[in-house]
Amino acid sequence: MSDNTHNGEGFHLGRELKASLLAALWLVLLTCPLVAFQINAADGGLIYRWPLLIYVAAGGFVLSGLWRFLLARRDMIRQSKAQAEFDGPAPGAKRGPATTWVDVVLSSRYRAQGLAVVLLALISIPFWASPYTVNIMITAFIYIALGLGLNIVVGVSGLLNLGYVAFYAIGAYTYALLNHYFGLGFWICLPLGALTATILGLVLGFPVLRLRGDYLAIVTLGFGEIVRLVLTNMDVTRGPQGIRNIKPPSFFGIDLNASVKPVLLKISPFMDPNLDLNKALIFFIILAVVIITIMAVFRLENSRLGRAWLALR
Amino acid sequence: MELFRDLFISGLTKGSIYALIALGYTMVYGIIALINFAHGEIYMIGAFTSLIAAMVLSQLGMAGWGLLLSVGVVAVLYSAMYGWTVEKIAYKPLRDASRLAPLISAIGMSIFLQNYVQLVQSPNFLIFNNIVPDIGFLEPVSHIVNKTQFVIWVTTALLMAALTFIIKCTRMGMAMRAVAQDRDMARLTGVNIDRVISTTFVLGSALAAVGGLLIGCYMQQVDFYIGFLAGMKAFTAAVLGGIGSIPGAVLGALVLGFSESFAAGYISSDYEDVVAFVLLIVILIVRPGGLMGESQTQKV
Repeated sequence: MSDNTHNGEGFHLGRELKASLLAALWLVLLTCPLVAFQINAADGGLIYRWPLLIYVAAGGFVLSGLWRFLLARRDMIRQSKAQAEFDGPAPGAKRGPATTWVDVVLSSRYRAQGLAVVLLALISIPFWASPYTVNIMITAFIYIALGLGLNIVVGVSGLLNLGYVAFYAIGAYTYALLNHYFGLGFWICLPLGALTATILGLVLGFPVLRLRGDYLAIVTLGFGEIVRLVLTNMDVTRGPQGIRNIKPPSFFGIDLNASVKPVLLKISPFMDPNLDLNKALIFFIILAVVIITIMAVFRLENSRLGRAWLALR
Repeated sequence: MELFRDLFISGLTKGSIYALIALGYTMVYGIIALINFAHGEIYMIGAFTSLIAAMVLSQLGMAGWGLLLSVGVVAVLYSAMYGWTVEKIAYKPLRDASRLAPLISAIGMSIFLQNYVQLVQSPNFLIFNNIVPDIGFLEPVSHIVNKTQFVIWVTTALLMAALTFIIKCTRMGMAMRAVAQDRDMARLTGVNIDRVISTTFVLGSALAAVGGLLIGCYMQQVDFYIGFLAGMKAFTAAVLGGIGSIPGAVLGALVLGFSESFAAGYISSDYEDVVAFVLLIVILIVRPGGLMGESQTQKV
């Protein structure tokens, strides 16, 4: 695990094997009490599991060997790169900035077509995928939207906000509570949830943003915990049990599963008959949200505000 | 008045435990400016190791103070080993990376250790039998101060004294203070930075392990998740007192313990955790440097 043993000396098999063996032994020693003995919760006795330590040793040996090999390889690559830079560019070799295939697609003249194909592929998902896949995609897209937002706060403006997810909870609870107590629908609650989160963000933001760096991190972490603790302790939110039977978003008042689904099933031969179309609607909504967010983020980064954010770092 | 007395005693006990954990945070932060999120997990591992060591050793026939002491030694050894290993695996390779990288690594380590204990031990609460032996002279007042609370106060006070001695009066302590002030300059004068950082982790983890053993005896139950909230509270305490400062961490921990205890007694026990974090936000807004502000901050 120490990386000062192979500074530019290459990869000596014997020495690396010995080091991995030591690492494995250390791991066995480290995990011995927690792995070899288990407390039997039923009668409070001890269960002995010595054989597990053999697996720990074997796993530790392999992983440590792999780790050391990768480190050595990284050093070797770095060294040869440094050597190449020292030698100067080879005649005739022209190296531009590093490109990935995403860059290639985005910068080519087929950019619009490429994006359209990706978009169409995404839109088509509910028409052939299983309900499970659709569920997973919804979760993934929610994370994408969350990640984009977090990137503005932490990545672009460099404010280490560990309580970001509190606003996610606030949005969720705004809809849940308004729906549970006042029967408001999804589409009214969408802006209302954003509004509530904005107001709370302002309430937190103004006093807290005077702090920098780690102090900001811990205060936002504390804010996140406050939100979580308040939500799980209030009677209005029904505590840790949470609120159930929140209405899914409606589509112009049409019952999708009753009226649209039979039609769709006839048209599309690949469609899974078990798919709940309300889930599919959520999928399209979150897809739209993600696309709007991506566009908004791109434009914001290049705006006056975006340059100010960058300057904040 | 009786309510006040009881709340005071439980606040002091909580504050002592927080102080034991907060010291690890503040020492590590003082030296490498890293919020070591895995520290709460080291405390949790200390509690689990104590539980298992207590069972094994009592099956071997130990009892009384000998049992408590040997369990403490085992827990301290193992937590120190965990702290050392975590530093080697998760933080040392990232020492020259950007500020955010070790922090994310620390959060990952914390989740890893939680899941590790959940996997190899149990996802449920386990019963922790109090192994603190009876103390004779406390019998008449045992309805006010129980033996575990007494042991917690005494242990915490002794460990604080020992830590202060180590930092003020030993060569390693001097090296630690030097690294905290200026790492590059310390390296130039021949201080072995890696050793100093490792020692800091080992010391902090040892203190956390004692905290884990004591909280196990006090609450009489442990689960794999106790490290998270305790770690957050302890870090709050460290920030409250001015992070990087050792007396500040102890002061912050006591303030936090008392305010939580009084809030639970006089307001509502549901919101005692909320009070801790509200207090944190208010203090940081009023005094951004913490209670023992920058001017008198004595970094480890």
